[in-house]
Amino acid sequence: MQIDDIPSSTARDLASRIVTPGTAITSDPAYMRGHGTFGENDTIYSSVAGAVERINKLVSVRPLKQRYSGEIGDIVVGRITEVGSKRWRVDVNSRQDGVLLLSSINLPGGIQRRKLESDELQMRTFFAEGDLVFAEVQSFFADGGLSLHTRSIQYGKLRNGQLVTVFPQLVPRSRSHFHTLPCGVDIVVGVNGYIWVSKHVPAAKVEANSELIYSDRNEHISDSERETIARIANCIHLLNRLYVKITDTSIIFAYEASLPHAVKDLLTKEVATDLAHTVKARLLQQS
Amino acid sequence: MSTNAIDRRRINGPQRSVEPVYLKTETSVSADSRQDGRTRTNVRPIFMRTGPLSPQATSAASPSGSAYYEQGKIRISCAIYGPRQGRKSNPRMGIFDCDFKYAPFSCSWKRSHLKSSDEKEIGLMLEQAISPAIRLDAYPKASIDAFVTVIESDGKAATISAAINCISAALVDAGIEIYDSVAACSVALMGSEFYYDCTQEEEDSAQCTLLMACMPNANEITYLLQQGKTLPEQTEKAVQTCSDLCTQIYAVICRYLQTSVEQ
Repeated sequence: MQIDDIPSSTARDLASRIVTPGTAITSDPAYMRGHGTFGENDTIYSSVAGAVERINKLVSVRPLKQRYSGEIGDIVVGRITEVGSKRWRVDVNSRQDGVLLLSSINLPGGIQRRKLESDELQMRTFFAEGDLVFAEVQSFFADGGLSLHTRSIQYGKLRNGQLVTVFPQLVPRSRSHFHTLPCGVDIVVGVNGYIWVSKHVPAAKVEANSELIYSDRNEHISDSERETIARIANCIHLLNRLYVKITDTSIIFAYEASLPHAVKDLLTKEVATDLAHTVKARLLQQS
Repeated sequence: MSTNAIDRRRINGPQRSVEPVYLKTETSVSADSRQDGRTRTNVRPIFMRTGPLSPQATSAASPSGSAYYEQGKIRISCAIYGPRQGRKSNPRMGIFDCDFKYAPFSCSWKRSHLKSSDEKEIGLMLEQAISPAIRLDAYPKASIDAFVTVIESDGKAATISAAINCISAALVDAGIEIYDSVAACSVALMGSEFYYDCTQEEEDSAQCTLLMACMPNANEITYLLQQGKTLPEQTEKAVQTCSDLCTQIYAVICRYLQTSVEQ
């Protein structure tokens, strides 16, 4: 199964090949091994099935599906799975659960003080099991686990909407992950592949009443707002199926293309293939 | 076991069913051609698909990888969950867990829906056969769980080897880092000759069955199981034929995986 029987393959040969696990990629000692590869006896083997990529001297294999691996500063959406002492466990679609420390959240009302024992006793009033949080990756633990924080007015508990899950590799890291779409819907695009679609709430309203950040109650959502949220959610599902990068522009394109159809028809085969062509054409045009 | 634990919420079919009487046909295993028309050294044709159980949208409830595998009458499906935070975790390396289940209708007799001891034992065997191939050191504190369901079985050793092939395809589909895909095959000794990839009937009349799992590219055997008596030379020969056979099966799996990724 050796790709190159000649040890010193030219660099051009290496890239854009599809390999299966255990395939020898190169035995040229000049190359460094990256993600998705392992080395043995100076030979680099692939450990996943996917496309070989080469950046200068670094050889890596990019698999079709992969779990989210965090980087400091990433914006993520996670679900609380466990309330511990001084910490919450958060499912962030990663190899292991993330951790949100009590010391790295904002207190309601924006009070700046050390967290006391009384705060520890009422941790469930901040986040309880099953709640969705919008957070940022603060640091790594020694074993590679993620430590999150919500120390900003825009982070915190998510409400008024619905969660959509996509492949994490489809969400590129960008300057902003919180968008207000022109159709009156807020989206939080987590780099970990969790996307929150919710009713638009003006930022000024949240800032004026900062007790709201830990509220469990939804605001009143009218039927037309619900329909728009469902339409955006279906559009994101569609983009995920097409394996298209999910950004605010691609979501808006899909939304605009979907307007002639009813929301419930968006994921049927005929409509989906029709929309797929339109969205792909517009994305190509833009780039 | 099944008679003691009747689940009244299920539709309990008859414990035994009677096959209709067919006209007698020639059944001679000793001849070069076998009952299903294969020669002694033929392996039943393999069909596989990756991702039948993973829907487009990923969620915590849907598996991260899956595979469906057919070899003659054998039909197996496998779902992989993880790497995810497990209940029991090792801070240094990941844990591979395997859950093996025969469907109640998968054998010629009705099996219990409860887990029997032989299913647990096969689950452990699968764990031992597969885990050397996984780069568990790359997944500290995580657990990878495989759930294997046999929809139809035909020969115990052949079913187990098919399950191993199915799991390794599902692992690749899940994008889990492995050293090499594991391929497995089984042979059975009848008379003085080894028959490849035996059905249930053939296994019943065999003196000895041998099951082997290996990583052909890394040239390492991960699992070897012999049931029955043979001479040392015969075992040696059987291991040699098995390793050749595994290489062939490995090539089939790899070719499928390659085309599936390209699509």
